[in-house]
Amino acid sequence: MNSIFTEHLLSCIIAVPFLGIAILAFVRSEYWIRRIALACTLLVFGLFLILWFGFDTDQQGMQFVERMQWMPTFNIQYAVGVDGISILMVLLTTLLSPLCILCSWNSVKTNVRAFMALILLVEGAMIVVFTALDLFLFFMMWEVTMIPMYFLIILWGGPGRIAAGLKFVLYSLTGSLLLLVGILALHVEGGHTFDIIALQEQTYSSTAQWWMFLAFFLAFAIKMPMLPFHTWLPDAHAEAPTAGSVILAGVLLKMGGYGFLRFCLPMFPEASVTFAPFILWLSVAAILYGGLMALAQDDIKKLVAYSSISHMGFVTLGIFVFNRQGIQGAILQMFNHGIVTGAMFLAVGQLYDRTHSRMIQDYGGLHKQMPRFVALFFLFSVASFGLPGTCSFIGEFLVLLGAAEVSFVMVLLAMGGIVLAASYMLWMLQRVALGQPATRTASLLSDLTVREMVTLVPLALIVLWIGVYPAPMMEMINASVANLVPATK
Amino acid sequence: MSSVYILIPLLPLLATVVIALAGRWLGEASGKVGVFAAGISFALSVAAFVELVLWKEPVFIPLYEFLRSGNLTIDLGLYIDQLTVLLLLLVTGGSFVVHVYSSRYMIGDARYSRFFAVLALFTFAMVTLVMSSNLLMIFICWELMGICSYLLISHQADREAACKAATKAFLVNALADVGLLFGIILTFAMFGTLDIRQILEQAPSLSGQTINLLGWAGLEFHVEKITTITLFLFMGCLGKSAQVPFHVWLPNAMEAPTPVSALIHAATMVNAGPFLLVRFSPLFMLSPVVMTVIAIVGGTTALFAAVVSLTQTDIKKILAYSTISQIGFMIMTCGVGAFAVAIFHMLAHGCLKGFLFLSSGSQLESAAGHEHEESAAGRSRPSWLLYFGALILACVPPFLIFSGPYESLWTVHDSSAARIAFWVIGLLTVFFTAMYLFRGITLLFGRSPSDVVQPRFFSPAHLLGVSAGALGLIAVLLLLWRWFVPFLAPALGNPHPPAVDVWQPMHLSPLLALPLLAAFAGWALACLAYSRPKLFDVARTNWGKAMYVHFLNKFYIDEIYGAYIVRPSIQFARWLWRAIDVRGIDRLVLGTALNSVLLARWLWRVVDVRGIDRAVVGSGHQSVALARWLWRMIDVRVIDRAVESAGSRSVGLARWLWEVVDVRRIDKTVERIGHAADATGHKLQEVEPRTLQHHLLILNLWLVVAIVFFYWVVT
Repeated sequence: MNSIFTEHLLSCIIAVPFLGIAILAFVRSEYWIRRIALACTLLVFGLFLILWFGFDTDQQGMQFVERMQWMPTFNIQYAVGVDGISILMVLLTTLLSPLCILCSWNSVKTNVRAFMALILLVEGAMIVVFTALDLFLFFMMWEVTMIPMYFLIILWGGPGRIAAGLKFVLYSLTGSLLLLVGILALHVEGGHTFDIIALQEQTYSSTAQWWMFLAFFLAFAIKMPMLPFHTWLPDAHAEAPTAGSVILAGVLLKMGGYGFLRFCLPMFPEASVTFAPFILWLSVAAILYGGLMALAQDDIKKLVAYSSISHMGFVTLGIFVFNRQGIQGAILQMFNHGIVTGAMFLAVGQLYDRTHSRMIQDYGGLHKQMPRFVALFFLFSVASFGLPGTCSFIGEFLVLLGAAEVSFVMVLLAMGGIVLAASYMLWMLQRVALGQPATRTASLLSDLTVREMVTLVPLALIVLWIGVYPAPMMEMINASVANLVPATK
Repeated sequence: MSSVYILIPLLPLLATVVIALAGRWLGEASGKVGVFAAGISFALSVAAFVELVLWKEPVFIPLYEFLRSGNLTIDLGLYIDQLTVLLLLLVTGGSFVVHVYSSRYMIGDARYSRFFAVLALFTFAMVTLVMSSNLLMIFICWELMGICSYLLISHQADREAACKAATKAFLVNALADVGLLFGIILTFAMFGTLDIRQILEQAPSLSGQTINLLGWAGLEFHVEKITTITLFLFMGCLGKSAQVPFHVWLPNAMEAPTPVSALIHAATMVNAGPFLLVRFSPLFMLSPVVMTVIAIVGGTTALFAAVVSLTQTDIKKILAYSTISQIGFMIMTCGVGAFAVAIFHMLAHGCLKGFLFLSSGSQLESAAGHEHEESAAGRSRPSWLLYFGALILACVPPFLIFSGPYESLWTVHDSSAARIAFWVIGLLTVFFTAMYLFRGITLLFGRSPSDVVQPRFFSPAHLLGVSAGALGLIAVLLLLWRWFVPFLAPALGNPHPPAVDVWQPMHLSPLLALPLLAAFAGWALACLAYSRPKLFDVARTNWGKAMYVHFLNKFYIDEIYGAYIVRPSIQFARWLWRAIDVRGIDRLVLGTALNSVLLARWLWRVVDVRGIDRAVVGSGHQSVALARWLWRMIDVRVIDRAVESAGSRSVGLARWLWEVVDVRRIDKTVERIGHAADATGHKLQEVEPRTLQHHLLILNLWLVVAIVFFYWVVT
């Protein structure tokens, strides 16, 4: 019994959100819709914890693998499994989803059922993206994540939601198209199979690698987003509802980094090495550029969004230095960024719920009315710029350590990004949390409710836990990264 | 047994957690929690000190594996050696005193428990910093202290100035910490470890090795590895210890609650820089270049801050600049290689600054603008003890530097010019220090300095008392010094120090007199300036005024930073955002979208409407014509006619066939068969019609015959 359960654990995790959508279809009362959606996401998280504790950290390959023929004619299977890289991403997904539902508990008033269903849909799709061992399945779910996001933005978003949603879809579709081209090329080159493991084991000719790398790279670079493809992100983040921003920043961006690790590095090592210098400098540019952009913002959500671009620069920097520290740092940085930026958006959303303003100048002096909020907001802000003792520091430090093997100048420049991060975050804190209230509304705000505390405190604990004792987290990814690094040596 | 020392950092941390979580219920009891934790920590530090004095063996307490990644392993641990234990005494002692003091001082503050939570966290961070066995651990604590400092400066968050000062303090430090972190990364890249003891052990093997800094650009620029590492590590020290050019944050940091934060920003935290230098002294000693840089920066800061503090009017600013100056002095002594002096002065300075702040308690409170009822009643006269304290503060460092064993260290730098320069800087600093300290203390206790300086101040009895007291204290200090140098020596990587005998009078003779004279001269000059202002009309010349304005405005360094670094970078960011993101990429994307819509429309009009549609319509017409032509040509003319002619011909053929086949052949044959059958019937009738069966049989027979016959005919 137990073994059957463990064998199909991953499928159970994937199935729950989709089942949840089916159940929601038959529920009328909004009271129950919210509770069922929350229960589903919590159940997913509970099941995931079983998987987490059953995960063998010494094993290099995939675990909890399930394979089933799906469309035998085209050699397409339903195949899922987790390794150290994907388990962290799945943790992020399953952890943030209940919080998304909690944060939209009262703020979403129209069409609750559709909203919750979309959140569940995107959660299920994201889990599949991170666990898929079949390219076709991967691509399908990659596309599926985009649709609910689009609707979340244009239906429940802010004033500029239509334009933002359109931009998001345009960019995403371009990326998807390139991804599709890449996947088809890979399918042909790799002997007409969609099996990711089998595809990874083959070697491809230099020219093929070059072209396929380019297609995959551009697709993932748009998702990340890397420097010249980033303008969809600030708008989408700013206009999306809180839950949408959290999912977008917390998990969806990670699909890009995950793609680099799952496809580009193991499948096209030669092309990766060829392109690496270019990508590294682009990453450094993104770190600095994102930081400068964030410094220029008056909209808190946009500020956080631009900070994401800067942080994602660290991820690509770490991935393309091709060493243990760099890649481990990058993976950790992805996870940390999900936690910290997710929490930042949750916190900003809580402010937005109170005043319906995202502008920095509308706040000020919050420390008086909202001491609990300010304490947590402060923690996440300092974590965002990588204060030692919080989780982000570990990731950034490892990335920098890895980058030092390539170029010291790069490291120094990237550190400039950390100083910029400290500047915009502390400046924002100073204007939002400290000083005197700027408006009368800002002086009448109430502190966090229990529900809001519940959404933020777990993330705060994770931030501190990883910051103080990162070894267990590192242990999770150690073996998989060890497996990944030789590919590019 | 020794693992009990783990409680020294742990207790303040626990206090932080308890106060942070239960602060609202604890109320003013949270102060007691902090006092308790700091007190026990202090007691344990004393125990550690005693143990180290008695057994002289450093204690190492491994904690846990922090992280492991490839060849990087970071194991956290606490390391207690002579250096650590001295700083532990200073930090936990200072922290304990501050806790006790502020548990009363902060009563009435709305964020009482928050204050103690941060204070305990600071204690934890500083204690862990001095106990760190790992460079990364040092960095973590380093930043943690920075954030505690931020939180303390912004404690009175209603005040705009306090918030700005907090942000400024952290950002200036963050900039300098880039250097420290980069130094750490370089250290790992070159040593492959971050464990302090391993680094120091391996350090000599790395001396002489060079690294090409511009290798990435294809150029040759070789620098010694040790020099690079130490230079960046020193950059970190510049920030935390508020050295030029990173000193700007400390004067603003005085926005923090008065005595407490002043103590942190004067007695403990700012010592982190010299501590790091001393901790890595074997490494720094290997690079004469960096040592020179350190000495120059320290000397510049010492002199600069001393001069500036002479003109400041705000008592807290005076103290801040005095701190900067004193730390500069410590850094300078590190630079010339007198690490033990730096530590000794650090301890002395810490104690005396703490003493200064705390003994002047309510005066400082009112001086800083805190309106407390009890202090408004009257300001007490400064005790003589305070003056002694100040004087000693001015005298101690030079007294030690110019005395005894460290005279030889002045030859670290070969040129005698440099030596003389440091001499001059040292003496000038002493001179100015004495001056501003006098001024500061008098400002503290009187509405104007002349209130305090009264004729009886110059009575022989008092002068005698002062001199005797000062000499006595110096004697005590020398005694301490005699014990101190050999005690600290093992921690400096020098287990067999040269025998120090400070009682050898020849060491004392001319050199010791100089700093003492300088200090007394400064002291006397300040006295005179306040008691006999007419003597100083010289200072009212234009030149003097210009100098004064420059000093008063701290050489405009804040303004320069603001105008040339802070504001331009924000404006640059705004411009960049507007120029590239909004106007550039967004417009590009939007433009592409718009243009593609336009293109689509044009395509539709040109290709679809005009091109294909017309072509289709045209081809439609043409195909109708073609169809008609085809119908006329093929259907009507060819096929129909062919069919018609074929029809008429087939009728003829049919007729012919009918005539030939049907009429002539078949009919005749049938007729013939009929006749034959008739004849046969007749014959059979004759044979005898017996039974019905026979008839049937015959009938059948004929039928078969007929079929066969027909078959034959047809085929």
